[in-house]
Amino acid sequence: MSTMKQQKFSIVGGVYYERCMKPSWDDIYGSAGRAAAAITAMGGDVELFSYVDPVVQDVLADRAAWNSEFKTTLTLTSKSVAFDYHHGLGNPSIAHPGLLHPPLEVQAERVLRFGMLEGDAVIDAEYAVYDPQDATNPRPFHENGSKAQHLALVLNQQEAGLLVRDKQLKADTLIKAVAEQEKAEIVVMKRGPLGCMVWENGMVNAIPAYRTDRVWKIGSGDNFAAQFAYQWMKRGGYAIAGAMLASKATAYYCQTRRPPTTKQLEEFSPDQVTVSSKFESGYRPLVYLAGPFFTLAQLWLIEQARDNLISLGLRVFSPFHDVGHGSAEDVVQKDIEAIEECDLMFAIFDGLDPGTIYEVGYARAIKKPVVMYCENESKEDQKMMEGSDCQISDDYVTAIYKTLWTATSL
Amino acid sequence: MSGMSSGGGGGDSGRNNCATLAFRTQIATPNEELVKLISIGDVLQVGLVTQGDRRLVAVLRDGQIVGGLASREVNALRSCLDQGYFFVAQVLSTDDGEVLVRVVPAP
Repeated sequence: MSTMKQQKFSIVGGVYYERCMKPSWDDIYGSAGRAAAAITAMGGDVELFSYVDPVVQDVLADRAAWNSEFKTTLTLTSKSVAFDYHHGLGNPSIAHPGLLHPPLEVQAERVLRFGMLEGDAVIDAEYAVYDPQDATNPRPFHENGSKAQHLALVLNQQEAGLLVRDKQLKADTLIKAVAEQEKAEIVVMKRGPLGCMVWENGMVNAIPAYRTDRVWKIGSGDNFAAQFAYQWMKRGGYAIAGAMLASKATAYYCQTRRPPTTKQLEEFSPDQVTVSSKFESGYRPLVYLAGPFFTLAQLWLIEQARDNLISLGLRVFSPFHDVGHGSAEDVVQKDIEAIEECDLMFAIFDGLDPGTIYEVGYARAIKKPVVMYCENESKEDQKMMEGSDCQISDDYVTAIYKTLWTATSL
Repeated sequence: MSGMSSGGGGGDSGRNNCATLAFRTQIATPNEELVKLISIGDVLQVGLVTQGDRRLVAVLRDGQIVGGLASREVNALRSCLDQGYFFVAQVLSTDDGEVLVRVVPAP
């Protein structure tokens, strides 16, 4: 096998504009751009293949000029794709020129291939890692004529179910079905708070996810695929170790918004997400969604939180959706019963809505865990909540994830 | 997954007003030894360096290159530097050897 210094990692995929409203973000990455940053941060030599417009081409030229381990082979287009997010768990608005470019062709020893919006990549590799990057219609690796002597797939459980056209399979059966259908030597199936599952040599291993104090979600999946690709293709060894490091590196990225170096990854010791046997067996905790719902902005946020918590696998009781407006006699008792029934509470604290404050107090009095999202209120106004062990976050996505991690531990 | 969108398009927004150009970014490939000497609040110089046929924007401390700038605003910044504007980089954080700066016109 080549020495580490001589090993080059070829990466093919999208390099896109990315903007996020809160937390503020405005840069040029996309899956392949981010993977290139992740692998060069670990000391790997990278050649990046992508479609780019002149602005993106210039930015990548600057990045390559500052990093001798980073080279590019770029196909010029008129306009690169742009993703606009309100927040990291939002559905992005995607500006796509509408053209499908001719496929890129990459022949190299080690290739990390991402699915793309504006084109495709036909690869011929000795080692390949493929992340289909499609939540609705993931395409098989070999479909476009791509070849690899050793193939690893990195995908989430939803993509896996779509690929084999069976969303009902249990996880360990599903991962085997994917490996057989796609003729993949390795399958790494991401499962949110449950971490990921690795299929190798006919065996399935579970890798944990990690908690962090802050969660920057955009690009976290790209970092996972990149780190796994680097660790597996660099060593040519076991996928399990690669997936373990990928899970840790993803946590590092979520916490800091940047990929780790080798040293930073070695020194990083996050706590594992705790998953109770009840959650593993299929129980889905009920979250009481406390927050004001009297203005359009408030209603928008309630909808976002409800949708995000449900999409992460939790059940939600939302007073607005499940009870609605009404007199005190009509609504209060129903809300209180729901607090008593719930497993935990997610509270939107901005605005110091009296009803929300009451609900938080009631939940804590009956020992229900509370995660509070509060961006814009004084420390003084949060004192009682802080002093009664509410988990408080000034970042929306972090608060949602803290709710998820608290829920999985119950 | 993909789709057409009427809003939020990408591309260079043409923010070439040099007197008000300001943005945050990480310093690319920072020099480890120099980073150890940098503290939050430090004000570093911003200048052009030539590498091959490319003019790069660098961040300097006492004339030594700390690292480079490679974000999407760099083209506009390069143009402003060419026009004779001066810029500085205010250090916002130095976590784990990574330096986050805010680039602003020099006072």
